[in-house]
Amino acid sequence: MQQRVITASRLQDGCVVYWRDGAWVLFIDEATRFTDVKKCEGALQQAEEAVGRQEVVSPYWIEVVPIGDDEFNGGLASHRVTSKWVPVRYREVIRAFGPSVHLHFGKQALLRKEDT
Amino acid sequence: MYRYDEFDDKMVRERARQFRGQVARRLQGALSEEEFKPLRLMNGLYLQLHAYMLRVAIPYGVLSSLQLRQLAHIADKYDKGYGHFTTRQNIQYNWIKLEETPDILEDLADVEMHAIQTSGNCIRNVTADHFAGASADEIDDPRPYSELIRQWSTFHPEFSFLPRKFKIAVSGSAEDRAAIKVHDIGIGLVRDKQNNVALRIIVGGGQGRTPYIGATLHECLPVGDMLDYLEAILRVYNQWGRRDNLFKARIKILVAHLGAEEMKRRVDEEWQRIRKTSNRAVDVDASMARLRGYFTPPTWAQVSAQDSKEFQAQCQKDEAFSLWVRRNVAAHRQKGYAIATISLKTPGSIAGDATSHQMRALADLTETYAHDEIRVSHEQNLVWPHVREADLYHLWQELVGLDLASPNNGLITDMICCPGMDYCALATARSIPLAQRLGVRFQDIQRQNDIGELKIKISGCINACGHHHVGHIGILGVDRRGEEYYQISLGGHAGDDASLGQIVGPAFPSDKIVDAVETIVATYLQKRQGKERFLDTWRRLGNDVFKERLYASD
Amino acid sequence: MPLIKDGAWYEDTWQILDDATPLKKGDVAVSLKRWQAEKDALMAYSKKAKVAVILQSDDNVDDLGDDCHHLAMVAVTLPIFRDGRAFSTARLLRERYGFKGELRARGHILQDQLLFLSRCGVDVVEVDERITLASWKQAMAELPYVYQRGFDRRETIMAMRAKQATSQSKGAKDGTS
Repeated sequence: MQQRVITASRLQDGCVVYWRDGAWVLFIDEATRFTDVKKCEGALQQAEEAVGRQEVVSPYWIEVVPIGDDEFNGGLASHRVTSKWVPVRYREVIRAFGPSVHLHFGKQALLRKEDT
Repeated sequence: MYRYDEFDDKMVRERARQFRGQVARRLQGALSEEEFKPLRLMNGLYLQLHAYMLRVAIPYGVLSSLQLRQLAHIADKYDKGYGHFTTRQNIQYNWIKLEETPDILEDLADVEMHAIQTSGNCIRNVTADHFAGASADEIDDPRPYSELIRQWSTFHPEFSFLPRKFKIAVSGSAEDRAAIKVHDIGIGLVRDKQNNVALRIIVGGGQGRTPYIGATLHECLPVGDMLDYLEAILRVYNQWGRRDNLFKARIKILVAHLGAEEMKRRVDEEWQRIRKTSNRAVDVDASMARLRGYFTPPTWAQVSAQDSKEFQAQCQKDEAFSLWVRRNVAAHRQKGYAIATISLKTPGSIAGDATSHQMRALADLTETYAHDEIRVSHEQNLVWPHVREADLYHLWQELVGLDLASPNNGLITDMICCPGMDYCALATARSIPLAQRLGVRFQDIQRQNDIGELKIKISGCINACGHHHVGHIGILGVDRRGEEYYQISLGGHAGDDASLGQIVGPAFPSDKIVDAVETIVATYLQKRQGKERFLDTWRRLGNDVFKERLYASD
Repeated sequence: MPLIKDGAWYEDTWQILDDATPLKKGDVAVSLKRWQAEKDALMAYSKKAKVAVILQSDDNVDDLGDDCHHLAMVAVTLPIFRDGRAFSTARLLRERYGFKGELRARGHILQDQLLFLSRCGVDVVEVDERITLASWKQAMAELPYVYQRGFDRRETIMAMRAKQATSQSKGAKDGTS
């Protein structure tokens, strides 16, 4: 089941952030998920006001899907992170977790799944 | 090399101060993102996928050991301990904070460096032949010309808000190593009938969405007219270049639209008008005389017959060293000296990346053995322009220890590769992992040498930062309904006989692209005649035979 | 919008006329198109009041050309700050056509562009509320030196270096330095 979350880049450092009830959080699992398109549009309008407060740059919504603990879809295999939700588009996977070529950089460093 | 005087120093320091003010205005909300963006871009600062990215200028690719050490320091202090050398001879840092950028600009100013005009719709960092002042086939040293253009274009009051970015490259040799035919302006140094150095001016080349080979506007321009002529070109472009469509705003589109003849007529008319005013750009001859003084050759060491013998013996004794010398060492104009290419393309690594540890170690070697000068090439390698042959064996051993001794210069694993979707906000597909997979597939050095000169160039989007249009094998990453696909073009070439690659057919999915390259290589090996390079074979046969093999099973 | 000239607020006397409004009295600013269409009438009018032309960014300066000498003011327009044609237009008006009157820049202008506009010959700028006299002054002092000649005829770094070199070689000859 696809749901939406709202994302942006933090103004001060360009860090990827997600919208959670009027504030910005670092991890995609913590983001508010919308199933109702109207509610998502409403939240996006609120998020856009954060641009005027110099919090973030260019917020937009993305689609996310749930994954199980041991499941990795094609793109995510490279990242091996313990996230319950992942973006549908691979570009957003990279934003959410970090570059696929530097697995110790980006958020994946904090979400690393132990190799078993 | 060039050294800042009090004026240059004050300019870069003032720029850092000015940017600190602009950042403060942005953070306070006095500048909107739309307004701030061009200002930060003119200081090399992008907002990418994970963080800000800072592009630092390395004018015409020249660095001292002190500067390289400072780049390592910046990598450690403000980034994650590495930097990425680019096709425009710059270095990029991927994990930068907006708030810290003014501090970085100050650290750069301490070593006579900056990030001025490394992005934005202005005249960008000037690039030149990375063998300048060392190669045996040089007509004149391109660095003084490049430095004068750098100064003239820095904070240009009239040309800082152009329709689009503007790139100038200068080549001083018979062999074009600066890709002057695919720049907005390419300058080739030539000799006129009186045997004086003069300028061949090529305009309107470029890659990106719509690639063009540039048109020659002037075959033999006197050096003293260089800046007036550049001003004329830029003014015609600033007035007539399209501003309604981002994708049609480069000067190449204007030249294609007007035709080279009409472009030349307009530029010449403007040039003649400039010559008549009393306000000509700058006294070029006087400035050139001063600048030449900075680029005199180093004091060469005495070379004995014994040194030369020893070098020959080392080559014979050590096969791996000999392989490296054959590929990565080029002839120097000075007897007993050599030009050494340091590969940033160890198969499986990230093309153009260097760690702060590697940078520091290279800085030490540069200071001790290389007349304190190291260069960045547009092919994303580093170059020691002046090293003694007698020191090569030791330097090579050091490079082996640093994992920088891949003997692959000009071979199939010496790929140009943009950062792609792992970092870049514009990218539509990843490029680095593909380059890594190709590197691993073709890593056998015997096989690489058997394949010979073959340049693969990979871009992660249509903007062509990875120069795929001029790759012998060019690869463009595209997005197909969320999947990474790769489109192949063949027969591109950057050089004196520049050509644009031709698309071979439908794009390949990520898991088929390495095999597709393998098929192309196998086809070449089977079809080549005598000593033909890949490019020669392709030029003889065209795309058809490759196409047949690639899409045989469809 | 407010105007700044030489670091002080500046009172605007111009009525900007669209192409249909008849001439009555007072100083008027018209489009290039109207100037070309009604040149004789506007020249006659300029005997009793001042006439100006407002150039839009896609107007070609050569279409106004030497007519500028009949005008008290010419304005160049930046529809958005990124549209840099006004810089060339201003410079050509001053340098190619020798325009001596008021040269005004209007539209969307950032503080960070004021110095460049001035270097291209603009002497009056229309600014939004973010630009104060203090920030104008700061912006105009932003570059300690310049590498290019502009209409302002500021001495270039290259010229200063040449002077330094001459005085040094003179000093060396005189044995004074």
